[in-house]
Amino acid sequence: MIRVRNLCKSFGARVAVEGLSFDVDPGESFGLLGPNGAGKTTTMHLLAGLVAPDSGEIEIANMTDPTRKAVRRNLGIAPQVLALYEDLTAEQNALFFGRLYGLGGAKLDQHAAWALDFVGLSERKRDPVRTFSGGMARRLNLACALVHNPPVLLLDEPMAGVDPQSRNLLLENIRHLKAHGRTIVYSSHYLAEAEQLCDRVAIVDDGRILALDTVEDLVASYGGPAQVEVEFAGPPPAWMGDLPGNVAGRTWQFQSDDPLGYLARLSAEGADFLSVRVDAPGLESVFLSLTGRRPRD
Amino acid sequence: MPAILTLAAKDLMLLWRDKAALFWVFLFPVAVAVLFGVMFGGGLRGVAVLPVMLLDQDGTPGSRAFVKSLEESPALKVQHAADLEAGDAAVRRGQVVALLVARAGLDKALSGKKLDEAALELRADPSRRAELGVLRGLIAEAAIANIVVPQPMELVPGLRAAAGVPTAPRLDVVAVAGGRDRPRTPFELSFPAGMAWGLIGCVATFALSIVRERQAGTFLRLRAAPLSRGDILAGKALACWLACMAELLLLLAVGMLFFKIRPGAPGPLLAAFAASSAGFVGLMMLLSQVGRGEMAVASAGWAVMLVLAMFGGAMMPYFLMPEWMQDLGQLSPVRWAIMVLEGTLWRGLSWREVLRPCSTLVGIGLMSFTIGVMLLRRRAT
Ligand SMILES: Nc1ncnc2c1ncn2[C@@H]1O[C@H](COP(=O)(O)OP(=O)(O)OP(=O)(O)O)[C@@H](O)[C@H]1O
Ligand SMILES: [Mg+2]
Repeated sequence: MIRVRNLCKSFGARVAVEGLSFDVDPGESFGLLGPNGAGKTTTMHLLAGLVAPDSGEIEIANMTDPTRKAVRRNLGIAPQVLALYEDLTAEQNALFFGRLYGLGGAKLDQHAAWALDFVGLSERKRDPVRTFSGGMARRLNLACALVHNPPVLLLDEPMAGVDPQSRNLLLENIRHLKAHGRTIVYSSHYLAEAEQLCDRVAIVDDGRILALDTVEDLVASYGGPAQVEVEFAGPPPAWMGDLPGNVAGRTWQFQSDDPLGYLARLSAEGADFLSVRVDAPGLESVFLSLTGRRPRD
Repeated sequence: MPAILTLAAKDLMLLWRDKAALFWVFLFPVAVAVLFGVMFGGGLRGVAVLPVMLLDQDGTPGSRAFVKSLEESPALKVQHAADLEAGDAAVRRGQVVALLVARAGLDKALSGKKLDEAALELRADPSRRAELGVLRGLIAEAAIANIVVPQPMELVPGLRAAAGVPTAPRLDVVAVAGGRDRPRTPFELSFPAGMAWGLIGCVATFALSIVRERQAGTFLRLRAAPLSRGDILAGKALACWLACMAELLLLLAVGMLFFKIRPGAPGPLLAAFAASSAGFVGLMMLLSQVGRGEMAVASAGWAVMLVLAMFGGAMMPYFLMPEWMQDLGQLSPVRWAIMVLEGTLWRGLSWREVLRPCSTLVGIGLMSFTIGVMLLRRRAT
């Protein structure tokens, strides 16, 4: 559905995107994860034809130039900055953006009502956006990208500045869209959501893709070992010295790619556990090991 | 609905929601028009000396004597017309109140004491009723002074009437449509100025809306939609133009309903409205690009508009301004707008006469619009 090859974009001397290449299949949801300034927004804008690339190719729905109207009709973008008219109501915003895509009459009303209902704003649709909370505005920002029912969605940090409850709602929304066959490009700092949402993830930093794979495979390749903490009911067995990690009193901490193997062995030898905690590696550790930073540093 | 109309309708809806902007676009100009009108009130009353033109077609000693007594009247400033056409033109331009023609046969009528056969023709704009009244009295005086009548009759009008001498000469009034050089009421000056202030308010409001749209990110969404950049700009321009027209029509309505504004022909008037609005739409586009942020555009925009307004005659009537300011004012679209608005509101300019100021305004609009779009292009890469 989307094909990007060697995409480059600089703003003056500052390189924002440097040689990006990736493909997104129809119906796939694709995550762009990276710290501030990594080039996520720039990539989104390049895909939407809002900025012209310095070099490289973009192909969306088998068409090359994303500034073409035919391409744009296939795209819905929810920009990172809230792109809404504060003085208009939620409904007026949705209707206006729908009209821009050539909708009209009953069809427009129907689509707008659906989009507002979808993000749970039907009851507030006659209120001016000015009076909305941050989370509600975020949801409307998504709804306005959906009114014309595009097959491809570009969601640039759709969860930014949203409380956990609204975040869950949005997460549910995006999952639903994915289940209905939309192709989604999603950028975020929030790794937990990306883990749940994205079929594949690209970790970007300084305008480059550091790794690109399914969440599972990324974790397997870059996540490192699991952190395990075991508390014994009695004194630790004497032969513990053969095993990795540190023993302090009745607590044993170790790192391993196969924590369950060790625990099974201990259990078979008759050790008694009071508690066991296994921190499996996630995208967070992938991120840390690839960029040397946490996502919100 | 075509995209441009959708865009324009959205902007007008936003304007409607923005109470502060509504004030500057609609209420403030009405207030200016009324307040300035009341303030000018004292300065424009009474005409000390009436300018008239004379054309002596009789060319007899009698007619010359008649002309001479008019020339000697302290209440008149007499000029001589080369011919009927030149005289009429002067009336139309408002240089003189009337053209008085002494037709062939005047001498005969006067010497025959037949005032009711006096061959006099007054060519004037009938709407200048007060001035024409004064003029009639002066003409009658001059005519009577040139009739040779017995002494007592001269002194007592009643005796003249008894002797069958008419008290006033026959005067054929021929209406010469149009031009006036001085307003009938001060509101005829203040309303065009108020209209100009409304246009300035529109410019400021819409220039800011462009900046705001860029900052809020809605501009991103517009650009991501299947629209050309031309559509987006045309939508803005159309909304601004319609708001300008609404403002002008509102002031026209208020002026006509409450302040005795009696505009001339509707065609040239509408052309003046349309061209003034177009000129200011261009300025709007240019001003929206003079700075990046809202503050920059707001302050730079108002500063520029204030200077244009001052030199353009929106703060004091143009004819009261020193000459050097009037000269500089030629560069201000505000001046051209006020000129063409006054011209069509009460000077009775014809289609031909509004052509120059209108095309100047449209030219200023096109030029500044183009520069604005070029700046915008350069910024958005
Ligand atoms: N219009 C612009 N002019 C100049 N530099 C820009 C512009 N837009 C982006 N940049 C630069 O390009 C780089 C990438 O920015 P971008 O907005 O794409 O990052 P991002 O990954 O979206 O960051 P964030 O997580 O903060 O949204 C940054 O260094 C930024 O300063
Ligand atoms: Mg970003």
